Amino acid sequence: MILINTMSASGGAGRTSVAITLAQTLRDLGREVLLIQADPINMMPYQLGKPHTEHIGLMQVLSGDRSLRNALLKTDSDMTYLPFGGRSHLDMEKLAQQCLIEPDRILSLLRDGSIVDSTVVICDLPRWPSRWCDVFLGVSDLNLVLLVPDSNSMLSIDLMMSSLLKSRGASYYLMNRFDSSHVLHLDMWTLGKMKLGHRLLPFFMHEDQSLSESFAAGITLNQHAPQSLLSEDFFKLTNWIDAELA
Amino acid sequence: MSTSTDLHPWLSTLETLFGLQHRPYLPLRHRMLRVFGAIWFRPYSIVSLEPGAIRPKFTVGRFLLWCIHFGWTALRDLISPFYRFFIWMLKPVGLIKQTSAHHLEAYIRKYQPQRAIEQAGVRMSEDKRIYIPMLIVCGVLFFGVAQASLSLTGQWIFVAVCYVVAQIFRRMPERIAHISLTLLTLLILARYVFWRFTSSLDLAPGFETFLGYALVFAESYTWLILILGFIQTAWPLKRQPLALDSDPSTWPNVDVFIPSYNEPLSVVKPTVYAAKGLDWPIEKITVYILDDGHRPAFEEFAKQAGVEYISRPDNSHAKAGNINYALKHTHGELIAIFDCDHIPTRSFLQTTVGWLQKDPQTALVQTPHHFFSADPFERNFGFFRQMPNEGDLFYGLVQDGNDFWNASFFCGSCAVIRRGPLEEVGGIAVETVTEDAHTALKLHSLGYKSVYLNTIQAAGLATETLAGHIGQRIRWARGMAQIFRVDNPFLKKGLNFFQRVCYANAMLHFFYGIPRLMFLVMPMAYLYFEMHLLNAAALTILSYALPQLAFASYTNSIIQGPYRRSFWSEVYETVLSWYIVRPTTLAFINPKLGKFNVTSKGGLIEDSYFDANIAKPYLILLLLNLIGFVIGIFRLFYWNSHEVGTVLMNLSWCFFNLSILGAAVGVASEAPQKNIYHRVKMIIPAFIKLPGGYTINCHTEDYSAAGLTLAISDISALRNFTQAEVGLSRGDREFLFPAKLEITRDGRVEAQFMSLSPLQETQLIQCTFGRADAWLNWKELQTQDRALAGLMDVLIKGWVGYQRLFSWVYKGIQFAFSRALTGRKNKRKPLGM
Repeated sequence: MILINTMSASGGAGRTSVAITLAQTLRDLGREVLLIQADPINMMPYQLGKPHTEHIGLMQVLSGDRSLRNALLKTDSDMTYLPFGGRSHLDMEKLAQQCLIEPDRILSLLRDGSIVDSTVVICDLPRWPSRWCDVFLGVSDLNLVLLVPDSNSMLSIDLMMSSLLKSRGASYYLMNRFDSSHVLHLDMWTLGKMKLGHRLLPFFMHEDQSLSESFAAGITLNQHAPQSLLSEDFFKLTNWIDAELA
Repeated sequence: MSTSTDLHPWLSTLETLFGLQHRPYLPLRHRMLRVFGAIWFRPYSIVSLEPGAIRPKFTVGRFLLWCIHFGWTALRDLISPFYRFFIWMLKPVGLIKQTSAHHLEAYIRKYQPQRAIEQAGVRMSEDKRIYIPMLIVCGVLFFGVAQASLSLTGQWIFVAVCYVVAQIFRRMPERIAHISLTLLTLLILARYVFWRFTSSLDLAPGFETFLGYALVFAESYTWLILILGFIQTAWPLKRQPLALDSDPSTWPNVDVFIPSYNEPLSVVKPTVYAAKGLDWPIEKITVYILDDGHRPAFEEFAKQAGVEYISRPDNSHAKAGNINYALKHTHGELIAIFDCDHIPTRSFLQTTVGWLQKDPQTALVQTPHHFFSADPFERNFGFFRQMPNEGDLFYGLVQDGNDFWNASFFCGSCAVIRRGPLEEVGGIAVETVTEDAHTALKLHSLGYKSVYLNTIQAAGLATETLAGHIGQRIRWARGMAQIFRVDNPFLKKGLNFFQRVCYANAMLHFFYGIPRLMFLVMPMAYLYFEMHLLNAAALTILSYALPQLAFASYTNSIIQGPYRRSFWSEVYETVLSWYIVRPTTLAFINPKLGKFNVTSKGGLIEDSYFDANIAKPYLILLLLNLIGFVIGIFRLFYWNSHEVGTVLMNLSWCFFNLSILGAAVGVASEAPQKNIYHRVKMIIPAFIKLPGGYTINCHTEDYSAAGLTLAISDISALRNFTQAEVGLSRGDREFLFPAKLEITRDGRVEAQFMSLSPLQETQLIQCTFGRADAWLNWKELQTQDRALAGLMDVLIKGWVGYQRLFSWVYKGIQFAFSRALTGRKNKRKPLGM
């Protein structure tokens, strides 16, 4: 089992979208994929075309109320996912605290045999900083930190650094929602390269309307706009991850 | 029930040969008739004579064409059975060749004879005591073999042995193969030369002796050039670029010179934009436009593009003077020079400066001149990018060979020169019109080194017309002859022997005019006047001359194959020979005679036309040879039937002349050149950004400064848009260019750029022509050279030339007729009314 986090310090960086599309593209390449929503603001089911709140999810699995097998859900396109699940705020904090103390608990819960061992698990983390971020950083293999070409995002790089260094896995930055017609974006890209070097992936995700349209239509980006540049970008990203996993 | 055994196996073989079905049960007479019918009444000839569904209007011209067509078809049908039979007969020969080659290769794989050769070579070079005596022994052996008089059978056995040895050597690693084939060729050549001087010059006194010795002189010239060429290209260095120092602060300051005289701004712009995009620290590079045209528009453009502009008070010494003036007013340690139409790639300095940085004695780094448009030969014969062009031999092999002897020279553009040495020799040489080679000669004589890197780092436009092409070559030829007189490489101090050889070959090479013309008219001496220029039996001549010619062609095909198709040199030389005789001879007599002329580029040819003015000398030569050929036929059957061999030899010589002259005439038939912006086929990733925030991923099919052709898998997404932004990338940066979109009939998208700002134009050039990988795959469409196929190709091109000549003559006659009939004098009479 390989655990990948998508995370960012600024809102609207596209964590959930990237996580979902990445999962879909990885599945197209023939990998087993499990999507986990680790963000209490439970957006993923909506984007996956399941517009009702799920009360059973990650929280129930972590607290031992449900086994993973019973909590897993499927989308119409047969994608396995795990929503966050309903809990009170106090319970969540307590649970997160427990998970921080014994990080193996998450791993052992995920490895209960209901998913294949070679599965790629993609966790959509809440906006950093958050306790859940720390929990999943502790057990991940790869952290995909999303940047958007604006100053907030750039400033957050230094802030996040200490917490990323504590992570079990390697961290890479990915420029998202990039539009080369904006001079600011190009400058941010240069700045990012200077700041991050090889930690910034050498390609970027283009801003494209097709992504939100595909969610609205309830189909994958690759089905909705196979010719779009963004779709090509996701192939690049997936190929890079695929090579990294191998 | 029993299947009848075939009583006449030879008949079924014939049936197979002509693609008939086997019918062994038919009576013999019937089967013979079928075969006979298949031989002489071929169905395709009947089909090809069918006038088609629409019957065209009857005209005399059409009728004549039809008659020619009919005659040709009949002739083809008559000949093709024999041809097929001939091919069939040759099958076992091919089989034997194939099996023996297979065994030979297996033998070489198993025993690796090249290792023994290498070891022997190493041992010899280590020990001078063996080395010198061995050299002497080899020399003695060589001359012994060369002068040994053999019977004709002996000579042919010798040739056969050489052929087998050549087949063995050819399969060894490249360098051993090339050198041993060269030596073998020299041996056979030496035998021929020896025979030629001792047994073929017993001529009748008077004019015959004069002509005979003239022929020997012309032949000696080709031998000399062959030998010098072998030395020059004995060991092509194939140098690789050297990495620069890792610290950019140690990199030298570079001045980029772009000299221009009368070229339009549209030609110069891309070069300037690309030069601005060279990968080099921004504070260490300055781009200069050196304008000899003193044009305010250029000054304006320079200011706006952010480059320097230098214009001098006078125009003395043309390009050389222009650069020298700029030298005085600039300070960079290195000088990169680009002709104003040579667009550099961004990696030019990164690739070239490494060698200059490593060795302070290196004064010059030259890269090839590459052309992304077709030259007159390529365009008029339509082999652009499928076959090496005229320059490929020089930039692919000759310069690389020169490099080994430290004699690669400056070619006027796409080069970096160190300022110190250049000032030491007094700037670019002004004494001759090929200032580039002359400057390099001076640098070498002071002990500086030069480097040649065979990686395309800049590209430009080829000359547009044959006239322009010839004009340029005349300048080169004149300049080289001038250097030979003013600064003879054999007399100049400070050069080593091999540098002298390389320079001498570069210069003497341009004196081929007179010998070439001699070869083109020499057979006339016999065919017209029955003069024997070689006093020997035809069979003897054949036994000595043919192996020598065949081996020289074979070796050249193996060494030069990737850079020049076999026998194409003959075509190139024939086209130019008449025109370079005068300038070279004049310059040889007095170097002052001659004027600098600039080749015009970036032009258009609207309509195809036949350049009769340029072709005139070939037409005369062609007529001479044609008459000679006809006379020869009569000689063969009536007048000289007692010496069939001699007549046949002169006839075949004449036939070869006719073929290359045909090709030369074919080149003079100019094909139209419609696009003002040259489209370069190249596949690079691109994307389209549609209004409303949608993107489409695609790639380019070809590009030019004006637009792109894009390939998109599904164009339905584009239907509603006529305008969009096209994105190209340079490194990891993307640039967008507003463009009009148009969907072509074959499902591609034509994007025409709209009103680009100067900044965008710069980006566009840097994303396309300036890409480091722009010219990497240029030669991927080319095929392997084979000596005989090259000959065949030249013969076919000759035939094409005749077809074109006849069609132009026919049009001319028709035009003249119609003018005579209508009595009208207006020049623009539509043809075919």
